[in-house]
Amino acid sequence: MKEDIQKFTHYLLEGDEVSCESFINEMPDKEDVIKVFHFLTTAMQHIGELWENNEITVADEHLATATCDYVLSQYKYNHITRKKGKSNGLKAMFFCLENEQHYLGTKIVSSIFEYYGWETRLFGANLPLEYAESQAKEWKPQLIGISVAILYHLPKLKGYLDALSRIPNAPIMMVGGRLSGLYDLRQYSTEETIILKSIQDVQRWIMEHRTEGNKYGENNKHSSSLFSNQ
Amino acid sequence: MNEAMTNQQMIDEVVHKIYEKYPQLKEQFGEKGLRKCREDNVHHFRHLDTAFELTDVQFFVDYAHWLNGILQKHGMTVDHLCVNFEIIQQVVDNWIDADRKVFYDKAIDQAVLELRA
Repeated sequence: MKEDIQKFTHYLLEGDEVSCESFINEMPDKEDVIKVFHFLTTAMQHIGELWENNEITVADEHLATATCDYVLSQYKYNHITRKKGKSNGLKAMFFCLENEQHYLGTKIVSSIFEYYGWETRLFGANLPLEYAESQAKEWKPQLIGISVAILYHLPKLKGYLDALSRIPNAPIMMVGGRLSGLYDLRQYSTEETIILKSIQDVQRWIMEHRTEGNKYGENNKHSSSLFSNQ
Repeated sequence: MNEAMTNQQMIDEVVHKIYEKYPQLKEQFGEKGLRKCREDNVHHFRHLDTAFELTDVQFFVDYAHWLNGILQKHGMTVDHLCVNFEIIQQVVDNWIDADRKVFYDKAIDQAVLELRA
């Protein structure tokens, strides 16, 4: 795994999209969406460490991010979008807090939901609350996922969660991103907010609430009708 | 005077005092270093303000540890960062209210204590 990460990281830093794609296509677990997303996440975390250690520059990091974004889009198209089965009738939207630029996590999480049959809308980086709110009111998703990576964006989180959980269809609010792995974000969230720390957590949550029918709905007034149509 | 202006002036004063204390930094890192020092202090204040808003000193202490690791890789010493923080403590006296000042002091004292340990 370590050697694979180093090799793949090298391709990302070179902006070598062709080698990145070949590498993914030759992975024995390439059909396992969660494993591939975990691999990409680990590679990008390694890139972050290289920057912290002054081994690469900000420009290198940006090139790697753009390359990873491309690889992710290609992989998603080939393994999720193109093979999409019947929709489960549920909708989810994902975005980063205002000024937050670290959007790859939302792209990965949105893809996982899509893989499990959700209809998704991905707004990526830096979505001011007023636009998130109008989109949510209009499109009426059953779930809204927010990502936060930088500490000084955290004070805004509660405002987003309060406002969005109050909209008429009362969506489930979900929070993830770098900070959710570092701190207990519960005290900066609403009581009903789901906080997920990893890709595996996301998959587990979807699976649990897919197989357990409307169990979640019985326990949470904010999602009472979510799984009743399954 | 608006808040952004106050912050800029505070940061200018902090950076000026750092370069007064370490004049060799100008030779060592040049204009780029001066710019980076200013950027670093923007981040210090952002993290202090956020820790204050969230009433958790640990947020700033964690940031200090993380940043110290990065700065050392760029040839800075733990002293540079601790002195920078201590200069912030001196400078903010004239600019911020008492509650914020008490919190800044507590957060910086804790960070410096751990960084110098």
